[in-house]
Amino acid sequence: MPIILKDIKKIYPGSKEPVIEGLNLTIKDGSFTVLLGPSGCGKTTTLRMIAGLEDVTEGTITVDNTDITRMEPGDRNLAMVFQNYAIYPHMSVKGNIEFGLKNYKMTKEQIAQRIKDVLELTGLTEFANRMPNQLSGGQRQRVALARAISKSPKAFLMDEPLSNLDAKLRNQMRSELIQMFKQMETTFVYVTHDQVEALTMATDIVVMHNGKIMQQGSPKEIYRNPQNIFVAQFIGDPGMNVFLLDDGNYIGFKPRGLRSSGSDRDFSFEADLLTSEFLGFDYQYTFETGMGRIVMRSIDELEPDNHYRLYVQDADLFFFDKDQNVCEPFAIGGLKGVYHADE
Amino acid sequence: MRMNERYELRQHGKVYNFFNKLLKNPYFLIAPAVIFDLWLTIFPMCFAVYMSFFKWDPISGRKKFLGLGNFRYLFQSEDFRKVLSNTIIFMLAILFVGLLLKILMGVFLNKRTPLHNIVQTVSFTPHIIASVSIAVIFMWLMDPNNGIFNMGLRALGLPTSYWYKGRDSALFSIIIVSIWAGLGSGALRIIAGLRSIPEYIYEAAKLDKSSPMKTFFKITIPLLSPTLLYMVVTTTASAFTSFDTVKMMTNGGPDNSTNLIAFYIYQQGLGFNQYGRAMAAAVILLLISGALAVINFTVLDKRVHYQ
Repeated sequence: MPIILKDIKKIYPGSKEPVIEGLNLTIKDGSFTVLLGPSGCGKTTTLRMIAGLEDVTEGTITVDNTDITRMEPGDRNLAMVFQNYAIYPHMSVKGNIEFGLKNYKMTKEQIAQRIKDVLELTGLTEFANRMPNQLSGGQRQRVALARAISKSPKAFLMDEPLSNLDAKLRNQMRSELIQMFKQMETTFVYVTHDQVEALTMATDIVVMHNGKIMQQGSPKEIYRNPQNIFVAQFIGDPGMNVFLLDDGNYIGFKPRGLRSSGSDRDFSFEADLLTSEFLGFDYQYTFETGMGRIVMRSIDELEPDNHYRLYVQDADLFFFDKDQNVCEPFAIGGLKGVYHADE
Repeated sequence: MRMNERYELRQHGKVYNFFNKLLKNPYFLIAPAVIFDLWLTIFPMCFAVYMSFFKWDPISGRKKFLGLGNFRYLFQSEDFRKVLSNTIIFMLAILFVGLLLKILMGVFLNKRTPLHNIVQTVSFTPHIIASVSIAVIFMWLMDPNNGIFNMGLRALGLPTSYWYKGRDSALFSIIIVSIWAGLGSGALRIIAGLRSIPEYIYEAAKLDKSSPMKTFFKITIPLLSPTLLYMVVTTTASAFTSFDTVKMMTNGGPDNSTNLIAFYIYQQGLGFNQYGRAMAAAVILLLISGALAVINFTVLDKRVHYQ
C-alpha cells in the first residue's frame, strides 16, 4: 500500500508564501521511510498532511489507490505517534488504548483481546491500570506506540517520537522500533532531524530542505552518493567540505577523505591546524585554509599549531556543477573559498 | 583588610547574634501572618460562636445567656426556614445554570479572532463594575412599568412580569442578575482552562476517530475539571455570602421571598438589634459552607484530574 503525494502545495492560513510547493513523493509499501531535514524544512508539515491534521492547499495524497486528501483523520486508517506522546493524561494505560478502539466497530471481547495483545507486545502488561503521570518518559512513549499498534493501521506516522527521551533510552527505543518494524510488516513514515536515527532505522531516506525533496534513497546511497551539496553537507559526521571554484563549480570531499600526506597528483592545499578534538577512536581537526575553515577526521595524530599540506585522492573527490548538483569530474581550476550550504 | 575585620567583629557582636537568631526562627517569621489571621479571622469567628449563645444588646452592653435558645428560635422560625430554602434555591440555580452558561459561553468564545477578543473583553466588564451599579441598572431594566424587559415582552405579545417587585418572580430576578454578573469572568476562566489543554491531545483524539461530542465529554470536560472544581467551590461560597444585589434591589422582600442568609444576618443584627440571633445564623452559615467545602474537596476532588 504505497502512499503517493502528488504535486503537493501547502500555504498556511494567513501566510502568502507556500511552505511546500510541487512536492512529489512515493512512500513504498512496507518501507521505513524517514523524512529527514533541518527544522523548518517542511517534513513535519508533510507528515501532518498525510495524517489529515493539516489541510492540503493543492495536490492529492493517495493511500492504496484511495484518494485521502480531504478525508477526516480518523477515517484514513493511519496511526500517529506524536513528539510529546499525546497520551490522554486522565486515562489509564488501558483507557488510552481503549478510547480509540471503541470508535471502531469491534465487540467488547475483541477490544479486550486487542488490548491484551498490544500491552504484551510493548511490555506494558503490568502497567495496564497505571495513570500516565505514574510512568517514565520511555513508558509513556510505549503507551503511544501501543495505542498506534492497537488500531492495526495501514501505516504508522511518527513525528520525532524519540526526541524527548534521554540519549541512553533513545538508543534502546531505536532498536525496539527496528524490531517492531520487522514484526509489523507495515509502512512506517518517520520524521526526524537526527541523521543517526535516519541512517540506522530507515530503509528509505527522504532528505528535505525548504519544502523541497533534495534526495530520496537508501541510507547507503544517501551517505555515499549525495546528489547535491545540501545533502552532502547535511549528512555525515561532520558534513562534507566544499570549495567554490573560480569558474562557479564546486568540489567537495568528506572529512575522512582528507589526508596529511599524499602524492603530487592528488588535489592538495595548504592549511593551518586550529583545533584538535580527541574523539576516542579518532581525532577531529579544524583547519584554516585562508579561504575558510575545513574539518578533517583522521586516526593520525597531528602536531598542534602547525602548518600542513593536505591531500585528497581522486577517488574521494566529489564534483558539483553551478547548480550544486553532482556532475562528471572536471579539471579543477583556482579555489575561490570554502562553501557552506546552510549559510 | 579593614573591611574584613569590621565584618568579623560584627559577626560576633551581640546585636548581630540576636538578630541572626531571630531571623532564623520560623515562629518569628510567620508571626505577622498569624497575628493578622488571629485578629481578623479567628477572633471574630470565635466571638461570633460565643455570642450566639447570648441575647446581646451592644448599645447597653447587657447580655443574657440563652444556651441554644437562639438556635432553637431560628429553627422554629418560619422566616428562617424560608431564608434557608431561598438560599439553597439561589445557590443551586447559580451553580448549575450559571456554570452551564459559563461553559457554553467559554467554549463558544474560545477563538482568537478580533471579534471574539472584543466580545471577550465586553463580557468581562460586569466583573469590574460595582455590584451596586449592576443592581441599579437591572432595576431600570426590570421596572414593571417602564423597563425594557417588559417593553420587550409586550412588543412580542407575551405576558409581562413584576420582576423583582413580584412575590413569585423576585428570587428569579435576583438569580438572573447574579448569573449575568458572573458570566463574563466565569467564561474567561473557562477559556483559560480550555487553552491549557494542549492541541496535540485533540489531534490524537481526531486520529482516534472520536466525534466532536465524544471529544468534548471524554476529553475536554475531564481535563477542564480542576477549573470546574475551583469554580464550584467559589460559586457556592459566593452564593452563601451574596448580599449587595438583595440589599439594593429588594431588601429581602417582597414577603421575604428574596431574603438570603447573608442578608438575614445583616437584618437581624443591624436592623432588629438581635445580635445574638444574627450570630447564631452566622454560625449556621459557617457550618453549612464548611460542610460544602469539605464535600467539594473530598468527593469532587477524586474525580478531578490534575495534570
